[in-house]
Amino acid sequence: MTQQDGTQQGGPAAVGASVREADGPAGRFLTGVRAALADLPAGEVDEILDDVRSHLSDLAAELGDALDDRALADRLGTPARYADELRAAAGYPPPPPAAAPTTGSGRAPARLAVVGLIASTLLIPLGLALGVEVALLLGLLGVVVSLPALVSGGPGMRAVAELPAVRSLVGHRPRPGGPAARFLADLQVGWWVVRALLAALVLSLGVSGAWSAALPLALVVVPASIWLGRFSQRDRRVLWLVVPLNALAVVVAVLVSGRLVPQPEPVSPSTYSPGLWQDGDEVRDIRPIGADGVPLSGVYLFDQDGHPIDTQGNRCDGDYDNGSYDTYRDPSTGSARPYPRGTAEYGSATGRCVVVPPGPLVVAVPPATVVPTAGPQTSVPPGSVEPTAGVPTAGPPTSGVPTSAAPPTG
Amino acid sequence: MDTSQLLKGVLDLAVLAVLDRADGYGYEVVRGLRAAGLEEVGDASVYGTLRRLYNAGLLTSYVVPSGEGPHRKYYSLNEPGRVRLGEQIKAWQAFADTMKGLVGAQ
Repeated sequence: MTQQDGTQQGGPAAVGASVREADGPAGRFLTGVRAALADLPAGEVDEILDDVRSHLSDLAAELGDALDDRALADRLGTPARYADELRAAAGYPPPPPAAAPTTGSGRAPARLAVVGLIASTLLIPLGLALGVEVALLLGLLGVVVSLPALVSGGPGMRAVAELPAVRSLVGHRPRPGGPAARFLADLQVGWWVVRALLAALVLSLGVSGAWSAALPLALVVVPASIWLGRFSQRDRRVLWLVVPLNALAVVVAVLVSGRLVPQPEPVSPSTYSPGLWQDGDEVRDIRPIGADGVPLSGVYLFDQDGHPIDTQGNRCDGDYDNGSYDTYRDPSTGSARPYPRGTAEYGSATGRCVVVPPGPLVVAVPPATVVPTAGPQTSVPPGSVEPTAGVPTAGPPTSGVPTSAAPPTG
Repeated sequence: MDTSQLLKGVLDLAVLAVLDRADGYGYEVVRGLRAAGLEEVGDASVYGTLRRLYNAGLLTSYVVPSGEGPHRKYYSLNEPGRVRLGEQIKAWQAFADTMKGLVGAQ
């Protein structure tokens, strides 16, 4: 096969791989073709040049050492002619007249479009994020200002691409086809997915007010975003829409991540714990003491709404195979016990969970309340002053009387 | 008469016909056309035609790693491509018959 002959002869340009390099006859030819196709969308040009590269590689294999500028010109014509022939056969538009937009005032719309793109990219997300209307309006003005160049420019936005500032910027891009460019292309696809997920989040929150719709939305938005990314490579005009939206997505990403990180602290469902808590410690039993300092027993406690106050007096984890741990309910009657109920602990002798009855307790009763004064004030708890609470001295509120007929559930 | 002018009108048909015989990469199609006697076909015209047919959805492509040189992009005729080929063959035969009738009479 001639290809093998070519590679083994090892002339600098005869080796297929060397066609990738930017020097040698093939490299020069490739550069010439690229220049002649510069008005076409970059993605399309890259694919064409891939074809030309392998074409030149096949020619190099066929011609062997004879491949030089002259041989290429004899075979393919000049790069410009080759590009024109390919352009005509592929049905691309003919090259635009080069002189028109490149100098003087012809550049004004292109310059405005660049300024407009920068303004809308920076100001629209900033205005939305900070709620600054002036920034938002200036950003939208940037879009308006870009319109003349967008309307008159083709998919390649050649007038903008030929601005000296844009040229030097694009010149710093990694070499197309090189490892850096390929890596960036991979990153770009990843970014298309990320921005789609962010858009799905925002859409989900905006439409339904919840995150839950984000996943089904993402199934639609992710392919759409990738399509848009590919399309913007072919039609550079779309950049004037896509780049500001990308900046907006970055702002949303920052806001979302900023909101997600501190969120675990105030989440209510995860911090909910059964039982009765005071200042972070669980109240496992209640020891009622009368105003005269005498411990009370057989006491039922209710909250301001008449719901029974229940402690979870259990400190045994997982030992639920016997009923004796239950401080909450009387096992024989099934009704709630009055306070003090005692606590459930592991018995030191058996190692099983048992109810430990309330032990002796010494507490200091505030001296002001020790003085027993006659009249209803001392015996009436503050909450019972409300008319709905009924007559306090008659016993616990009827709504929550823990009798055997209506035991508190738990 | 300049055959390259004639060739322009039937290059699609020619390229589709070459690919209908076997899948091929760009330069293989060029060689196939030359081998069939179309000596004047321009390399760039073939590559451009392949791109247009591909962009029109008549061809699919796949990349085959190559020991030497860059990877090769093979083109293959898909169903719409075969349909188009059938149409163009009919149109060509009708046209050729017409021309034979016109030219053969003289």
